[in-house]
Amino acid sequence: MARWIPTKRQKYGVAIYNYNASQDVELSLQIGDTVHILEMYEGWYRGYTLQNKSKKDLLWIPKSTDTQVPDLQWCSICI
Amino acid sequence: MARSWSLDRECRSLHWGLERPPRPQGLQARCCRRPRPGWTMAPPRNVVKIAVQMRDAIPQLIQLDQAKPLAAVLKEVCDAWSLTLPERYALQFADGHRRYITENNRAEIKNGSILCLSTAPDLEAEQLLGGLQSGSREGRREALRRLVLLSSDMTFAREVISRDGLQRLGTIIEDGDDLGEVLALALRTFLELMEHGMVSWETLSIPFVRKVVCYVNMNLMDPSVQPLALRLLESVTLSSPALGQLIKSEVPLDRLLVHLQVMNQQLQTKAMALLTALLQGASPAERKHMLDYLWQRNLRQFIYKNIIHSAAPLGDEMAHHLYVLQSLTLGLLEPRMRTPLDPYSQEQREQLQALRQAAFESEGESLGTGLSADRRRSLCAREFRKLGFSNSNPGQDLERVPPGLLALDNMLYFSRHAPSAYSRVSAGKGGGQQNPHLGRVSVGLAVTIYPILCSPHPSSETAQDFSPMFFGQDQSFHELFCVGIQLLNKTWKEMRATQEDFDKVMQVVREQLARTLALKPSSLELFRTKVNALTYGEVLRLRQTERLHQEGTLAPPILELREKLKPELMGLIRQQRLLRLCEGTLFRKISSRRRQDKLWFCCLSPNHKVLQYGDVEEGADPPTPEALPEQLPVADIRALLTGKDCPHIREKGSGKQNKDLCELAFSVSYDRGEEEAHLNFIAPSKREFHLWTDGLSALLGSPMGSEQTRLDLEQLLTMETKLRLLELENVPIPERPPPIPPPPTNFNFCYDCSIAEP
Repeated sequence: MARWIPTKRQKYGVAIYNYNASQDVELSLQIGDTVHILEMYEGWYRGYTLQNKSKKDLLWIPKSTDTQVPDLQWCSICI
Repeated sequence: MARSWSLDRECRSLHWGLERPPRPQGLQARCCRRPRPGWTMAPPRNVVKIAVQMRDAIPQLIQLDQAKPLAAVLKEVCDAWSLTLPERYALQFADGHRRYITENNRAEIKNGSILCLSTAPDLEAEQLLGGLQSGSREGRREALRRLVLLSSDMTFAREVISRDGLQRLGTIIEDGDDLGEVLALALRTFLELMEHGMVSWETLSIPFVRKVVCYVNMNLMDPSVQPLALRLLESVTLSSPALGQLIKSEVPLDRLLVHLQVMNQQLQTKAMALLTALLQGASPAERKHMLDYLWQRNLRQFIYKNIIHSAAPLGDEMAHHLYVLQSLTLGLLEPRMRTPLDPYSQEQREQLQALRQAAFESEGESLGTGLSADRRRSLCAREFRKLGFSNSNPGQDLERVPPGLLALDNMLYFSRHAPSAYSRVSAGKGGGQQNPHLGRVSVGLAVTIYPILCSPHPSSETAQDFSPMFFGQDQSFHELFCVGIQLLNKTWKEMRATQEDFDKVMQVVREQLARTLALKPSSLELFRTKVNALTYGEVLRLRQTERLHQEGTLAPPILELREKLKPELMGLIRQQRLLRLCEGTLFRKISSRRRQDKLWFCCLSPNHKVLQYGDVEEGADPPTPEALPEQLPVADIRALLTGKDCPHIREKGSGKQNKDLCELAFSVSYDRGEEEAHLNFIAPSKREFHLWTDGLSALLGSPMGSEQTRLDLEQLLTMETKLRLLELENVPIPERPPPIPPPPTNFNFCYDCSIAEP
């Protein structure tokens, strides 16, 4: 049974396009929202927005389609 | 809402396959109608309706089942036409390149495709190769024509090659009995077959290559043979170093130059192709030798006049070859760039002295004689410093690599070819803060210009980015440097820069040069004019517009964001207006007697339900709301009138003073008992007018329509959008939404987030 894989390189992302959630488990993103990515699977990320850290359960964000994943340099500064 | 269940546990109980995951309770279940992969039944049978033709037969319309093997399909088709031996036949696409249909490409058959039945590829190959041996020339020609048509198909090519087709064609080419159409056809077929990549170019025999070289070197009547021969040689040179050397030794550069000068575009392009291939294959020393020779033979002028500026449009392939030529020529400067200044080299020391003398010639001469060695040395040192080297030993500046000796070359060129400009630029170096140091400048410029001209790889297959002005004169790099250094001086003054701003100025100059080069000016003069027109102010303006564009006043997702933010911000403005109303304002009353304007004060009650107002004495403090005698319940207000509609304005009639009042007047009509009464205001200023009308409109529930509102909203929107897009500083925003992948098949998360955080 495949599990979601924790991301190693992609930890932070910023949304480059608006995304409206079509299900409850999905996260709506507005352009400019920053997200903290936890794990990934099959083209989707799981994470939470830094604006709303509490909503962490079972949400996913389409992978590198709606989020621009910045390179490591940026990640290290933010952490 | 208490969440007592663990989501992960739910998820772990999911399994793959056709079962839909149970909706976790606690979340509202919503129907998802998107089709999920793997959850439907087996895909419907893929049947396409097509037509099959054959010469001299009635076409058949059949339903082709893509799951059925092709052999079975062929049998059916042949049976329908009463043809025996179906293995002798094959299906082809009827249009375009007439490709044979195999199991690999059958997916390309769509509804409505037209196919034709023809001889199977292996038989066809057998037939045609046999035809090559035939006695009559016409027979050979016919066979070759058909071979050319079919060779672009991979399946057919494979059959031909496995039957030694290449060898047979090679023999025809090598024998060279017929120098006309047959040779051209043979060459073309050969090339088509080779280009499938099944056979390496290195397998060609030396006599064969030599023969093809012959064709290039001789004068032929048929114009179609030589481009093909050149194309063959180009492919050989690029693929095989050993054969490439052979070709280089056998094809004189002059011969290629002759071909270039023929007014046949295809021949020119192919000759240029071979030329660049040979140059690329050569070692750096050889390449320099070849390029020097070509330049000596005026290749550059020829290219500039007859190819770039010719009447016929420049083909893509030729542009690519010119780009390669440009990169290779500029690449010759690379060794100079990597060589640091050698402090012990007499020649280089003399060159540095020459630079100094060129700048301070007159002074040097008069003071040169009659000075002791020490004095002369110190004079030299001072002059070098004046020239702008960082210390008295200029060698140190130039020891840095890159740009190494290239900077010195540039400066020498500048001093020799534009002496007046040189002395102007160097004399401006008072050594003070106000002027850039020449040495530092040349070093910086050389490092900057080189990557702009040579940045992409010359080996990239399709790059077409050559600059026409490069071919306009010899020593283009140095000329560009001269323009650059004068530009830098000009920009330095425009930016009012000091020594610390050196890097900033370099960046601006780099941008100026890059932008102007990107416009591809066709001559150096044009370049000079354009780059001088691109002043510092212009650069700033361009940067600003681009930033605005990026910040996305235009990008669709940003517009969406703005729309989403608008209601919230309008609410904010509304709040502000009402608060302002609660604070109250002092108004004037226009009395008909005009003796003295009376003052009165009006404000909104904190619960927004009542307008309180009352007269006020001149000079008194603004009264407290409790002290105001009159009250007007908001619920009674019927409408808000502005400008000319106000009763007190209407009474006044028109007149200049009244016009001004008109703009500031507004009135509230309300019910007083049974009648309609008005409360008339004259706002003290335009802004107050807007605030009050907005506030009253908001109370009445109608939209706030004043100019002030619009401005405020715009300002707030921009600020809010900027804040949100802070993270997106240098990230490009796509025009269209990126595609959404299908949702994941399971939710087996790695992290268990249901554990409450401390």
